[in-house]
Amino acid sequence: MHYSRRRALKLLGLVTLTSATGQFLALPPLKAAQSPASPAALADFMQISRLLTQLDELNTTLAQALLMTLEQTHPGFASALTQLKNRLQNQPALLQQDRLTFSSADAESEKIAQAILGGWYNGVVGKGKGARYVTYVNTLAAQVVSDKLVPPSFSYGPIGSWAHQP
Amino acid sequence: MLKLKQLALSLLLIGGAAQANDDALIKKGQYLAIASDCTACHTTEHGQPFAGGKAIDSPVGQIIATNITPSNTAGIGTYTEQQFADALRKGVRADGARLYPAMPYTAYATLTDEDVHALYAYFMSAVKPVDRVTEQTHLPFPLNLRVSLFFWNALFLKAPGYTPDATKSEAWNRGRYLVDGATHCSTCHTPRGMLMQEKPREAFTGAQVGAWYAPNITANATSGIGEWSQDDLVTYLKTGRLAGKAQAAGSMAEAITHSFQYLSEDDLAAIAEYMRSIGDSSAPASGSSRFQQGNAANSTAFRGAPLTFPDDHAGARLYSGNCASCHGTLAQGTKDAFYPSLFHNSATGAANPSNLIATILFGVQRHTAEGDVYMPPFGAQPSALNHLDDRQIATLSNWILHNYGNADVTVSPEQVAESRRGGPASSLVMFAQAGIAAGALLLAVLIIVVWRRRRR
Amino acid sequence: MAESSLSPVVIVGTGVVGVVIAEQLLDAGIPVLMLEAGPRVSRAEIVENYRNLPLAAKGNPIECYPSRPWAPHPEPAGAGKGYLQLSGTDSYAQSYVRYAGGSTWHWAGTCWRLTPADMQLHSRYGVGRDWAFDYATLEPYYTRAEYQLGVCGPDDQALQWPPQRSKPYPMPALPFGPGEARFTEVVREKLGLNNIPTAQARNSGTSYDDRPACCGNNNCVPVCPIGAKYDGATALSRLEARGAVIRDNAVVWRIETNAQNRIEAVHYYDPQRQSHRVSGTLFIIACNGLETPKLLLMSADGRNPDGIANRSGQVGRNMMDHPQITMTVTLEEPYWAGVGPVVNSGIMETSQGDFRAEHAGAYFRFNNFARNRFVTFDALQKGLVGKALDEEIRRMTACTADIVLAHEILPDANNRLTLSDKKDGLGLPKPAIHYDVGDYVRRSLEVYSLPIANRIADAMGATHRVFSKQFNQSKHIMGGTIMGLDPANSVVDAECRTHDHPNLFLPGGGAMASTACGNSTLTMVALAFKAADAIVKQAQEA
Repeated sequence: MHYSRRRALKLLGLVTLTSATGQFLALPPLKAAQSPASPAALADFMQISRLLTQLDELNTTLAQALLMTLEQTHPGFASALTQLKNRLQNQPALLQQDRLTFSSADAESEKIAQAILGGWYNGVVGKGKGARYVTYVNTLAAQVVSDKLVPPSFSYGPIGSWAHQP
Repeated sequence: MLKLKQLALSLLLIGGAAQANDDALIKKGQYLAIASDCTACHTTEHGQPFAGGKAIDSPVGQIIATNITPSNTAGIGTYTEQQFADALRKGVRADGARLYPAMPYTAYATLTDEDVHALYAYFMSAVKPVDRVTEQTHLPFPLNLRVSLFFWNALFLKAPGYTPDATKSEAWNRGRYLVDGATHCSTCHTPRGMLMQEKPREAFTGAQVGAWYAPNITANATSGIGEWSQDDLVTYLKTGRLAGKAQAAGSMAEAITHSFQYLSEDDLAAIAEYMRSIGDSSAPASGSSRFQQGNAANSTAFRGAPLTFPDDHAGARLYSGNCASCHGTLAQGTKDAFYPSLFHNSATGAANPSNLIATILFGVQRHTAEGDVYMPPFGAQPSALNHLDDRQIATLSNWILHNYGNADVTVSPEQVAESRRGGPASSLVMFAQAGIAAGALLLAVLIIVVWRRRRR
Repeated sequence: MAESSLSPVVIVGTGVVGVVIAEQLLDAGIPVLMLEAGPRVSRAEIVENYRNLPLAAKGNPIECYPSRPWAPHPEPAGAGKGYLQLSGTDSYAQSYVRYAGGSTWHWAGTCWRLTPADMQLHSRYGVGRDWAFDYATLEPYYTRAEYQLGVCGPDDQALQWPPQRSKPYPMPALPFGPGEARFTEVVREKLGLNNIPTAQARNSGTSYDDRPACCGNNNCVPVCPIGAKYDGATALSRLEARGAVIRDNAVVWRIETNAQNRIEAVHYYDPQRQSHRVSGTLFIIACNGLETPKLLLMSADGRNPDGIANRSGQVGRNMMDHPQITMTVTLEEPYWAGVGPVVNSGIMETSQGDFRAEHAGAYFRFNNFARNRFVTFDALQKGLVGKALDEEIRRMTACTADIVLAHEILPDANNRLTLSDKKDGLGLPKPAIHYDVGDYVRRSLEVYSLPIANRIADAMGATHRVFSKQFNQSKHIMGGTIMGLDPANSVVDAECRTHDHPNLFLPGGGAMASTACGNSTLTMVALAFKAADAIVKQAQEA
């Protein structure tokens, strides 16, 4: 049965193979389709992600998936990433505020930063028809409230367990 | 006989103290009946207590449990205490016919005369008579000849009663008395030989019980439950589960629900003490137990593609759609282990995958002081949460085993089909019939030879 | 055309009404053939559909039930896109599930009963219609419905809605999560209102009906992953095990009458548009309040030029729902909605009163959906990063809540379903619905429900509040085949039997003569039981 469901997602051939934990096991179709992210690109991506999220511990396999998907959905991502890295390194003050306030000249960098954050927090990369869904359970949005909530469609506990504050 | 007894009882009613003694005796009998779990076989799901009618699946066919209420027409109402004791400990009915050892009389033979007396008092006075006759058991020839059990008993049945071991503690002896007797653990947990007798040298080392596998419960740390503490075992018997290790399903869940959870703390401790003294001579020298297999990791699911997308990750997708909701995306279960994790779980860590397959097919139902524990079945039942076929269950089982359990074990669709049918059949019937056929053939040949000789 | 002639009772639709009646018939030894327009699907598939949905789509419960081309149901994309041709001041953009099991796949499980007053709007308040019988007559059927579905509810009479009950609830009420508990406290202390446990078809602590107990998946809408919430799909295998025949992907498109104007047969298309005829002696159409009147209108013939069962002209008229407004509040203290079932409590007393002579009543429910998936996008939009972003998400997840104001509506003959000239995948007419909630509802919002909502927001200490801009649909489709004693202005009688055709029954939401404010499913199931008794009697007498 082919339903053209999930218009927002490109499916077949899509390779975002994600574990329900966000752990990858293997990415055979992706590997076949294109070369995996270079270690340097991954290192950059991780560094930027850490800076943006202010979290030291980020899931490396999820990072890999996000990076690959970003490369697929954003043409010229690699250079934009380098640009963003430079921007953040040159203007460390940018990260000291609650908001990233890029100048209008750096609109590209801002967009990339938002895309990266969107990926980590929502598990979705890209917008509209080009959006790719990377993970449902392992988003930072879920992690941030994981002491109180469980992602919907997963059990919280037996009856009564949700009546008590954890 | 019964009438006399009733008269005697009513006379004693006048003496209050005697009444109190009878009450105590009946209570003791009730406790023993619970410990012996008579109800597991002799009460059907919605039936009256002990009215029988339940069909027990055995490897040689279905055996119908009888009505053991004190009904004069349909039950044991006319039984004397001796007849009751003989049924219980010698496997002989009041009419002289033998009982099939599905009735664990080989274990109940351990019961002392005193305990039999209490049980008799309970069944005769405190159980409501139900005048409904149960169906007869019809096993295939030659097993329908109950007289054959005379020889079987001669070989394998021990004398009634219990002799304590003076070198061991009172608690140990009480434990052995219960384990060998009322709670009849070995009747499931000890492997059986060709004639379906328990193999004493392999006591408690594990055996197939229909679709389920009653695991090795010796005190060996690798093959059995040696790494469990005394408290662990007591907890398991009381609640049916031990977080991060095991949970009871199938007949054991029934046993917990109807029997073990009601035993006294002392008795449970005694059972635990005895069980922790049983060795396993055939256990491997080293290795990890079935409770230590697997870890939280790596379940896969596609995001962004529908469930029907054909792929190599069918196991992961089956897990995600059917199991992950309760057992967690990491198979970690819920925080309090109410829904168990699938790693560090004997059902997935064991070398025999029967329990994993049977759990998926038949689900888990337990009712203890903790409440209702219910995992729905995934077989062909009307109440199945999802009907998974043999291939799907094999795929799912293999994925679970390789990711969270004993990675050396593989399940085939044929195994699942066999489990669905109630487990492996015994070749006993076939051999017996073959043996008889061979014997008949031999006899026929002899007759022909003799006849021909006489013709000459 | 392929022809087949089978069991005496033909049930069109395998939603909750159809499966309940089927079981009653089987209990009475009467064979049953069920025709379902849509497919049979597994729960695992729907659960995975949900998890795979992009975040924006997760809020729309129909999105994990993509319709099949031959059985479209309204949805934002796919075969059902643009299915409903809507007109009028207010939108009737309903959704329902054209799958085996019906719309209870995605309902919240709420099981309010009507009150005695709800059934007598006309005699008490001079508005709307009275039911053809009183609450006391319906009460035993409510009990049967509750035991069939497995409804949990409070033992305390003061918390029951309504308190007039002949038997206790089959299971005790589910506990409140912290947010609901706080909401309950706040509205009681500051407003004297009672936020009571929702009577709901969810297994509370026990494996009722061989289905697992609720374990707080918080996913009831759109699908309960474990079947702790009752849905019609759980009945299907059980019915088949008892001999019911269920044909899926069978879209009934015509009801055929004979010379005596009795129903003789129904015709259905398979996905290849091959038509099949099924004859029988008794017919039940239970395909929800929208598809049922549509089918009746499509089946107009020489004897029934305005549609089957439509001598009154009321088929497709009086389309009703519970017009709702959502108030989203931002709070200072954390409520943490999102643990436990998605709808677990509500304020029902505000639905009753003499004011109903002037305007609609309203019911206020604290929506218990987990908030983080709704708020994360907004937080990202604000351009936040790092710890600030985390804190914002956490704060908004804990400190925002949705309170829904659900109104009753009066039957209006101009709120009407007709056949449009657009065609669906099988060439059948798409339904057109003209709808206006009416001044009765608008006045309520102005003078009653909105002021109460604001007082609730004040009581909660809301720092910010946002209201829906227009009335939205509750997806409780009612009225299109309305019940009454007078055949001149109603479609079915007190047994949901059509006035025009003695062997045709239309049980379900379409028969409801008034809506009150509470969800309609339990009333529909009570009507199903009432109809089933009559159907069994009729089948046995035949």
